[in-house]
Formats: sequence, structure tokens, C-alpha cells
Amino acid sequence: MSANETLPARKGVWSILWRGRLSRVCLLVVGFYTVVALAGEFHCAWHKIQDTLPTYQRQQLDQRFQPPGPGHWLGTDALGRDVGLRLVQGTRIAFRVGIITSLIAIPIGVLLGCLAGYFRGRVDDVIVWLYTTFASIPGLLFILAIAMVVGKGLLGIYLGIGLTTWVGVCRLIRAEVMKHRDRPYVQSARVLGLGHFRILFRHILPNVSHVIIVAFTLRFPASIGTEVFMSFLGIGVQGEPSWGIMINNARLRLWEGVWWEMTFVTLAVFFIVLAFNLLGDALRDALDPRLQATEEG
Amino acid sequence: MAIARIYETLVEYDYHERPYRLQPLLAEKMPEVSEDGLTYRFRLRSGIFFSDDPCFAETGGEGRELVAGDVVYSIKRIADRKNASTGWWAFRSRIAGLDAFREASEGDGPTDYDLEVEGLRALDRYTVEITLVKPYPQLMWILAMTYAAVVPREAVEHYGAAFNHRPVGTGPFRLASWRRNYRLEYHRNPAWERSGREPVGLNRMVDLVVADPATRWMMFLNRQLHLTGVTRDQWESVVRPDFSLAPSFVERGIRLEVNPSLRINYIAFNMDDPVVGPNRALRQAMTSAFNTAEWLTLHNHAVVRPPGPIPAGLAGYDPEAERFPFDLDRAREWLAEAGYPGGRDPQTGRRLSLTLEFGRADDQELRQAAELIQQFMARIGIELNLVFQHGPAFFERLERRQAQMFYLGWIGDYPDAENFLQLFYGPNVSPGSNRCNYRNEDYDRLFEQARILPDGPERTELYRRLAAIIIEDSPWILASQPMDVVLVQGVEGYRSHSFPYGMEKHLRLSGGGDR
Amino acid sequence: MTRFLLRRFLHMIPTVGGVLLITFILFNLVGGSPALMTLGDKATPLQLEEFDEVRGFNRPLLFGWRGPTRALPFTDFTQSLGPWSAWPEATLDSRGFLSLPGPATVELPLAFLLFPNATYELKVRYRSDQPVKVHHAMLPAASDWQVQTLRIEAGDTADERRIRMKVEGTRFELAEVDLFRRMDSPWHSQFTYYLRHLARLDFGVSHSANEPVIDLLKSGIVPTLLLATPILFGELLISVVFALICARYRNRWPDRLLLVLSVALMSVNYLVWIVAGQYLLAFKLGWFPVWGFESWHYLLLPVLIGTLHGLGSNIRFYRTVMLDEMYKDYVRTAFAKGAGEARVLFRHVLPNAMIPVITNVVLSLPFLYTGSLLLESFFGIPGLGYLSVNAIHSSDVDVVRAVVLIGSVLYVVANLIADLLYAWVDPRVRLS
Repeated sequence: MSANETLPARKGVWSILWRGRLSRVCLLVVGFYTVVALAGEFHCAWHKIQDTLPTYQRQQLDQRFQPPGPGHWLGTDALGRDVGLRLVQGTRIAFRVGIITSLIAIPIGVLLGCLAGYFRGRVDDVIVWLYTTFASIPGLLFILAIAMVVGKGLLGIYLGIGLTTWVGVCRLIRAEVMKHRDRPYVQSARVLGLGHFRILFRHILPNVSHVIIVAFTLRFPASIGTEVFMSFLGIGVQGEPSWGIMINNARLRLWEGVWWEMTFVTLAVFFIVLAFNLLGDALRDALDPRLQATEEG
Repeated sequence: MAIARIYETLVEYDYHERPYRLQPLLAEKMPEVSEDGLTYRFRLRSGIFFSDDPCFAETGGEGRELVAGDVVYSIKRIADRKNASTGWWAFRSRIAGLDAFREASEGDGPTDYDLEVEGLRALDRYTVEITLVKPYPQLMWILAMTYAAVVPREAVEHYGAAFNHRPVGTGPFRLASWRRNYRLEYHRNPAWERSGREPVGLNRMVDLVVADPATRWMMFLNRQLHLTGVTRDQWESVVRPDFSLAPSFVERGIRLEVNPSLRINYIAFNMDDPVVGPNRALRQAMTSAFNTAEWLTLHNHAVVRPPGPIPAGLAGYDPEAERFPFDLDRAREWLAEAGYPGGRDPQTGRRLSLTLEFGRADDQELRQAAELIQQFMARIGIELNLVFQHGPAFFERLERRQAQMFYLGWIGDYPDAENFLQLFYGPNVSPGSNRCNYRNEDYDRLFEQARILPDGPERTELYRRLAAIIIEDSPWILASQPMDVVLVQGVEGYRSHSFPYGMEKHLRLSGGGDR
Repeated sequence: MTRFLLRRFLHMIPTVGGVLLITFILFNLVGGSPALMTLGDKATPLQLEEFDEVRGFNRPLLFGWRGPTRALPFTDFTQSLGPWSAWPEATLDSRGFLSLPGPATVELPLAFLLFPNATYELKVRYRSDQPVKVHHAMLPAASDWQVQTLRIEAGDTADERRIRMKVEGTRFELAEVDLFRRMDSPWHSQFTYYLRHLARLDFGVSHSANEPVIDLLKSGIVPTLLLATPILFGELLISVVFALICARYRNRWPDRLLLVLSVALMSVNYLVWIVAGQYLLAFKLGWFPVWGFESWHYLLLPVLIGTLHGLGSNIRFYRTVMLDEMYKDYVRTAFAKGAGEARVLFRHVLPNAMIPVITNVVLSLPFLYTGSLLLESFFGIPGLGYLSVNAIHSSDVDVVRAVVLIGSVLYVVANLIADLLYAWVDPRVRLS
């Protein structure tokens, strides 16, 4: 075996996904949501620069509970705010949570996993101890507790989810690195006298990077779900239309037949999570069938 | 409140009379008050029994008769430092010798309840005399509060720390089961009838704590509940603008009870804050920017805007008192006068940015209200940042005077304007009840004068003058006085009351089941 | 086996220690004072301080000499003098300090008398042209800003429990001031207090309920188990059956359909299940009660929803387990020998697949205990999940910490059991 028995290059990943019919649809769905989220981001930033009240926050008390129709395609909520516009903002927040928590969790997990898998010994012991400890603490409660300590708001969500979900990434990376550290290409690099960190991050890491991609697609929908849940409980997002907050608001008038806010939010959450789940499966099949569904929320 | 179903006080509120009036409960008649207003003498009803409980070892578990010593003991218990009672404020520096008793209760040993308190004496088996250090006409209201509930010493000593879970009282009900913050179940108290009083109408009563308004509403519609409030989101489907019930609910046999609450919700300025504290024009501008019509619409007219710090229903209330009604032009003028023309600081050119803090984080209605306030201020160019946090963290910030502006409510402890006006009394500044840290010597002097006067036109006039000072200085933006609205199905005899201590004895089932 | 057990048992210790440390650090940093929450907003600083004293909140966090006190609440001169304005002639300098012309004798505006015979530390940043006597200690003269820490020994008498300052010079300026409680030993910390109480199974007191946490836990465990156990086993049974169907018809339409279905099930947010279930089944159709826990049929709807929610991922997991088994040599041999499909499935695959299945169940046992936070809080099942969510809302630190801690320890123990199970089934594991 030689160094070039490595896995499909990144370009290969995309073309594999694009070739599958189902995964192509999923990619398109994710792409669509991404565009929507970016649009929401611009909308929000625009109003921030202009120093005005964003349209999705604008209350029109004479327009309360308007069913879907011209003017408000997806209807209005209890304060006469446009459900469609708020849905866009919900997407923005969900993406922020998905991406920022990944930016916290994945680097921590990768770094610790690499160190533990490569150096073994004491380093491994400490890191394994750390992640066993973290893994022992009931996940959701841990997240909520961190959010409680940090304070309500997006920061609490970012840190809560980010600081608890690196464990899975770390474990996967550690196992992969351990497999690679005794491979001939690593040994020859060592013979050439390359430094440990150079070997680890320049040679081994690219070969295990598929784990990162799979981990990302798995944890993205999970963190969206957690965010929705936390915001619903009132511990999450404050003052912004998160999907969880929208679901909670929508419940109040459901009994009278105000169905639109609930329906549209539910569908929005469902499709993005479904797309990511299916993509995750496709990626796993394409990249490494041996990786199992060890990560759930 | 709930505890008043189990315990009783010397006097109680009349269930039907408005304005609120007291009537004797454990006392045989209203007390004799001495000329100087310092001594109150109560004669107790005889033949009132505590409910049966193992703590009454001498009688083999049978409840004994309530006597004057129990009243004395119960008030001493509130004063006992070891109990850290939340009701101490109601008696502090009022009753002769009680503060000394409190001092003596400090330390490691058990509190000596046999220690005489000069102003709190049982003259004989059925007579209690209370002597005050200075006139305090509000004492009677205090004695109707649950803090003054009469408890038997045997139970306190028998159950120790668990006494809170094992109440033993003379009231119409006794506690059958209890899970804190979740569910309470009461059964009728046989000792109540043994005391020769009219039997209560309910055998069993269950209180459920359902935090989520949507769930609560569905439970009520499915007849899982007998009584419920109406949240703002349900309001317009249920209550018509004239406070009558929508016909579809009347058909279902549901009744609506409306009563103005003795609660004022307000936006307070921290007078110690360097920006809002010294700038009266700014506070007046912000008061004028508060759009009453939109605010009431948001609350579905389930609230009124109080014109002054004394709510409707109390002596001293003046419907004409408002000085800064909604007027955007005037608000902008005042804002310019305050040094922020157009809402901008001319020196830095930046928008005036203030922070308003809230002590609840999970309340949707509050959140919507907050966003509306934010918009009111945005219209005159002030940027209002909203901060929502948990109760404890919030109150700690208030205690440390760190909040610039905050949204809070005050619920009257008794129907006397003094209870609201003391919120601006200088000596009460944080960590006391004067959370906005308002200080005004003229006000303090007038207040000290007013609070010892007996009820009458002279006092009412002073109350009005006090209220006028506050309205002019605007340490608060008065936001709302909510109406208490209760939907009732399946029970009869329900009447809305701001102090419903033990009033469930008047209820009767028309159908059957729980609360 | 004994040695393995011992070794494995020793492995638990650092993990449990880690959990203790993490939960402690996390929760003792939380904002908001338990004293204020318990005693209400009409409590005086002294009442609050006494509360903290009893519960050990006025100690240093992990280690140290200094604990907080509420005796001197107002220490910030950037905006106003606050109660310090009681000092005659004291003025506020706009640069953010208090300025007092001397000579004068003044008293610090304490919220209450210092605790008798306790030791305090007063830290000040000041300027003064002459030494200043504070209580029994001396602040030396300082021409420029200087930080000094003085020891204040409170005596018995009321007089000895105040802090007096005697300014001799013409001007005394105070920029920062802080009062601390000095501990008798640096080990008198909140952490050691916590550990000592834990050792006695004392998890503290819930400040919102004013009850010992252990009592709350005890009353919450029964409803939680009543809810979680049927969910666990219902899910297990249904998903194993479906997984067997998948294995039987692998890659044919029943398998495909179930796979698609389980991905779809997985993608429905838990919230949606709950909201829709409560609204449609309980409210609209009236099949179930909306909320509460009065009798067994209040559990039906939450159990149904909990089972449905976990089904998707469970089917997928058990399907993988079954398929892994299907490709093993002995199964091929069995097929080669002409055994029927059903016989192979039930006689060979299922028993062998039971090991990962049982491990999975053992590992999910700890989750029985925290239950389903959302289900319980939404349907009003007064279990540990309900307790936890309420506790988080009211920042009830002791309760959340206890629930997290016990949950973690149970998880560690479940892991141990799962490992032992493996070792028992497969002796090779013991050697590794």
C-alpha cells in the first residue's frame, strides 16, 4: 500500500453526490436554504446599517392572523408580521447555529483527536479522559446548563452545542489517525525526518478529512434540532424569529384554525433536516461505508 | 394565596363588598382601637378548632381549640430571624418590642418564644392586644394577609423544617397532597364544620400549575379545568370589547369574571444612572412617546393605562392626573430640550442608546410588549436595547443599581395607596422596594405625614399631591394596570377578588370534578 | 475476570472525578444569587448573607482565603456616591472617585453589622496625605494611587462590628473599595463544602422549591421511569422487528420503504411530534388528556410520541447490526446448508445480534433517568425532566447540578456494565 491509496479527492465527493439522483435533489435543497439564509443575513445587515427596524419585526396590529394570500404569501402572525419573512430569518439563525457550532466543535475535536491518535501515551490518556468525561454528561442537559450559565441568547446556544459535541468528532478522528499512523507513508515520512506536527497535519490529516465532512453533515441537522428545541423552551434565541420561537407562537391560536405559521415552519425544519440526513447517508456510502451512525444529536 | 385556604387570620376581606372592606374572621368583631391609634384589642371567637393532626399529642391527635396565645405565637414566628420569613417587612418597626424579640432570636440556640413582647399580649384565653410604636393604620390590612395566619405551635415544633409541607390550620380546607410548582390537592376540613361554620361547597379541589398558556387553554376547552385566565392571544376570540363573553362560549356554559387588579406594570428609570437619572426632560419625552392606543391594542384592551402611580380603585386615584399623554411632537421637543435633538447626542452624533431590562425570559407576551416599547422609542429616535434574563440575575442587578431601565410590576399588598407610594420613599432605595432609587426630600416629608393619618379626605389629598410629584418627575413610565379576567365553567359562586384569601369556601360545584 | 473488573472499576474513578469537577465549575459560575431567589425581593442584605453563610455560598470557589460578603454593597464610584453620600462633605469626583476633606471620622456604609468575631479583608485604592486609621489597622500615607489590603477583625460588641475610618490629613480620596470575608483556611471553599455534602448524599437545597434536592429527585424518579421504560422497550421491540424485516428483504422494496420511512421519521423535529400530538390527538380528537399526570392513561400519549420519535434512528441502527451479522460466514454456511430464511433469521442472526442490541439498551438506561426533558415538561409529567427544565428556567443551580451529576455517574456505570457484558461474552476483550 502506498500513500496514494487515499480516499476520493474533494472534487470526487461532489461529483459522486451530484451523480446520485436523490443526493442531487438534496444538494439543491441545501443550496436553496443556503441562498435563503444568505438573503436573510443581507436583509438583517442592511437594516442594521440603515439603523432601521427590519421588516420581519414590523408589527401591523391591523393585519393580525392574515391567512396566506397576496401581500403575505405565507400569512401573518399574532402581531401582523409576515410569516414568510420571519421564516427566512429562522433559516438564517438555523444556519448560523449549524455553522458556528461546527466551527467550535470540529476544530476542537480534530485537534484533540489528531493529538491523541498520533502521540498515544500520556497525551492520549488525558484526551480520552477528557472526552469520556464529557461524553458521560447527559448531552441535552449539559447543553442547557451551559446556556444557563452563559446566559440566554445565541451565544449560549453556540457555546452550549459547540462545547459538548466535539466529543464525537474527536473519537472518530482519533480512531482514523490511529489507523494511519503506522501506515508506510507515515513511516517513510518519519524516516525522512519530518517533524511530528508536519506529518500529522500535512500528511495524515488530509487523509482523514472525509471524517470531518461526514461529521459536519451529521451534526448540522442535529444542532438545528437542538436550537429549535432550546428556543422553544425560551432558553435560546432572544428577540429574533427562530424556528423554535415561531412554533411556540404558532401554538397559541392553533385551536382557532390559524394553521399557516405552524405548517410552514414545520415543513421548513423538516426539509432541511431531511436533506442533510440523506446527504449524510450518501456521503457515508461514498466515502467510507465502515463509518457507522455513531453520532446522533 | 393558596395557604389561606388552610389558615385563617383575625380579619378577612368581605367577598362581595367593593371597595374592599374588612370583616372579622377569627375575631368576634372588629377590634377596639385606642384614642391615640396605638392599641388594638381583639376578642376571638370561641369554639374554633384546628384540624386533627398527630402533632396534637395531648388530645391524641384531635385538633384543639384556637386561643389568643396562638395569635401571639404566630406573629412572633414571623419575627423569628431563624425562619427568615418573607413577611417580616409587614411588621418591622411597628409593634412594640417585636424588633427586640427578633434581635434576641439571633444566635444558635432555639428561639425563646416565651419571651414577652410588650406590644403583643394575650390578655386572657380569647383576648389579644397589639400595641404599636407609632400609629400605623395599615395594620388592619396586614392582619388580613397570609403573613398573619394563625398557626398552632404544636405543629411547628412537631414537624420542624417539614412544617411547610404539613400545614395544620383552622381554615375551610386541608392539604391532601402537594408537589411544589406542579399540583396541590385540598380536601374539605372537618374541623371547620366542627367549629360551627357553614359547610364548604367543595369536597376536593386541585390546583394545577400549567405554565404554558396554549396548553392551559386547550385543557380548559376540553373541560380539564374549571377556572382559567385569558391570555392576550386568546383574548379577542373570547372577550368582546365591552368585557362580555363571546356567544360561542356562553353557549358552552362558561362565565366571565372581570375585576381590575391592584397591579401596576411600569418601566422604571434608575435614578442613579448618569444618563436617565439627572435628565427629567428625557424621562418626560419618553413618557410622551409611549403610544397608549397601540399599547392597549396589543393588550386587547385587557389593561388600562394608569394615569398616576395610584391604581384605580384606591383612595387618591385621580383619573385626570396624567401629565404627559402620548404626543410625538411634544416628545421630540422634550427630547431636544433634554439634549438629544432627533434622538442624537450632538457631541458624538450617535443615536441615544438605552437599555431596558426584563426579569423574565420565557414569557412570549412580555417579549411582544417589549418589542412594542422598543418601537415607541425608535419613533423619536431613541435606540432601546432589550435584555431578558432570569429572575434572580435580574433582581441582583436591580439590587446593585446596575440596570439603566427596567420593566417591573408592583402588586398591591393591601388596598391602600400608601403601599404604592412607598415605592418612591427615599429610605426604601435599593436593595429596598424603591428600586428606581428615587430621592426627593419634599416627597419623603409629605409621605411620612400621610402614612400615619387615618383614612379620610386629608389623607386622600396628601396622596394626590404625592402622586402628582411622581408624575411630574417621571421616574416611571406607567405602562398598565391589568384587568383580572377569569373564565369559569362548572362551578358557582366564583367572584374575582384582588385578595382572595380563603375565598374558595364560597364555591360550589355545578358539575363535578376538580378545579 | 476479577482483575478485569477491578481494572475497569478503577478506570471509572478519573471519569467520575472529571464529572464532579466540570459540573461544579460550570454551575458555581452561574449568575444570580440563590439567596435572593429563595428569600424574595423584600429580604434585607443581612438575611441574604445569613442564608449564604448557612449554605456555604460566601466562600471562595475552589481554593483561597477570600470569600464574598454583602456587607458593603455599593463600591462603584463611577456614577454616584450611593450610600456613601451619608459621609458629611464627601463629594464625587467626576474622574470616578470619592473625595473626603479631613480631618474626619467616618464609618463605612455597611449594610449590616459584620459577623461577630469574623475576619474580613478590606481592599482599597486610595490617596491620602496622612496615614488613615481603619478599624484597628493603618493605611499609610500615599501621594499617588495605591492599593492596600487591610485585615479587619470584627469583635463581639456592636461597636467592634462596624468599620470606622479616622482621616488625619486634609484629604482622603477613595477610588476602589472592596470588602471580603477572610476564611479560616483556604480549604474552606465551596468545592470542599460541596464534596463533603455529596459524601453524605446531600445534593443541596433547591432555592425555588426550598426543599432538599434529594427529596425532589426521589419524587421525580417514579413518573420518569413510568414514562421512559415503556418508551425504551416499545421502541426496542418495534425497531428490532422492523430491522428483521429489513434484513429479510434486504435491498428489496420493504427494506427500501422502511429505510426511507425511518429517514423521514428521523427528520421530523421532536417538537413537531409533540405539538402535533397534543393538538390533534389530545385536543381535537379528545383521545388523550392534554396535560397532567392523574392516572395511567395520561401516559399513553407521551409514550406514543416518544416511541415514534426514536423509531427512525433505532430501525437504522438495528438494521445495520442485523446486516453485519447476515454477512458473517456462519450465516452463509447455514444458507448453504439449505436452512430456510426465517429459520436462519431467528435461530442464528437474532441471537448473535442480541449482544450489540443489549449493549445499546444498557447504554440507553441512564437516559431513562433524565427521561425526556421535552415530553415531561410539555405534558406535565412531574418527573426529572420536568424538574430539570423548571430548574433551568429558575436558575436552580443545585437541582440541575444534581440531575447532571447523577445522570453522568449512571452513564459511567452503564458503560461499565456494557463492557463487562462484552467481556463475559467474548473473553478476548479481557486481555486488551
